[in-house]
Amino acid sequence: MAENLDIEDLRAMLAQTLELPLAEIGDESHFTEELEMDSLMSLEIASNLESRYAITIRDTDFAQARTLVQLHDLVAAKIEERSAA
Amino acid sequence: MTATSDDIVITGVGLAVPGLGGAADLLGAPSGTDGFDPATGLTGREMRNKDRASRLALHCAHTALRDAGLVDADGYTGDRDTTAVVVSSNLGTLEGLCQAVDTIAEQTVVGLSPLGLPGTSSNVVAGWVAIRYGLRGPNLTVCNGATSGLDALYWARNLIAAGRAGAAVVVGVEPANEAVTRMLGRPSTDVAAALVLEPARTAAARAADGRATIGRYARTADLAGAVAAATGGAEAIGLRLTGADLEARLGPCSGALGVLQVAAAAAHLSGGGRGPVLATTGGAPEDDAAAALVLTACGH
Repeated sequence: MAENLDIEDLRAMLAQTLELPLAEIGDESHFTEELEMDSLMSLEIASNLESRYAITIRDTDFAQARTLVQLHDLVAAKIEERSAA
Repeated sequence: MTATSDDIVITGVGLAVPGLGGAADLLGAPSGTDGFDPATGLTGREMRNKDRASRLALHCAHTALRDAGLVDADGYTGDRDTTAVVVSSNLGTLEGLCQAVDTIAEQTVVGLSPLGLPGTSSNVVAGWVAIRYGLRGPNLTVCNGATSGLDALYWARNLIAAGRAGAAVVVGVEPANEAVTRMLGRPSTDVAAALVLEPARTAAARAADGRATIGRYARTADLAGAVAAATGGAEAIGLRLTGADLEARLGPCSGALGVLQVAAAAAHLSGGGRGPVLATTGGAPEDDAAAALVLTACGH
């Protein structure tokens, strides 16, 4: 059962995966430049999002989302796609 | 004994042992101040998503490299292309492997986390240390039972003597966790030590202090044979480190033991203690071999 999308849930998931305090995950914090996210962490986050929201995220999609707000938009669009299908 | 240009010396020492500050604490009662605390010492961005053995190794490797004068704000200042990393650990990856196997049994491979994958590699600790400092020299893990720590020192020394590496970071590490405790049948302890090895001439060229010179080493089936081969039967020994006292104080040290002993030897010799120091590991009925390594003071 897919969960409803909430930006605060995404923030908490990022904080947990990146092992950073919640406060460091700003809406516009850059994933690689500020939060030092590497490819393994990206894979982990994408895989968590896929199972949590029942969506498919391609590597190229994830590479486009570089902040929490952008990631939220990406997941929202993927949920929309899924619902439309 | 005076160091010669072909000698290989220890120029940096670092520890990650709960409650202990520096290597001198291995020789007697700890000074009690600024002892290592895993709760605070194993956090920070460079520690994220790493197994406990790697975190302990990164902590003590940094201390050793700083002690050797080989790190600044921009990272490693030595020759990255020729610096080796040699790790000794017998049980470091046990917990990660057990967790991966349990997850596969319960959820199949789809339950595995990508972040846990590096922790299932037996070379994970050496890999993370190399990645952290950009070290592109030889990179290996010795997982060799009781003699592992002294063996790692020997192999690091050989890499330098043979010209395969210009310097080496040697780490001995064993993490405390449930899997290790189950395996040993008694509580496990976090123990890690790191040493920086360089040719004496390299250390002299950058005016770095040598703490001890790596002398003869032997690994044989029994302890008496190893000691006789390493000492040549002739040298008067100033200090014998059997490891028994360290394990009585710290708990089982396994693959970290030999590196901890050599850290203690370096503290003894650089503090003006009488040499040479003879470090021995293994030789108990349950061990498949014994190793002995002689360390001498560095000449000036």
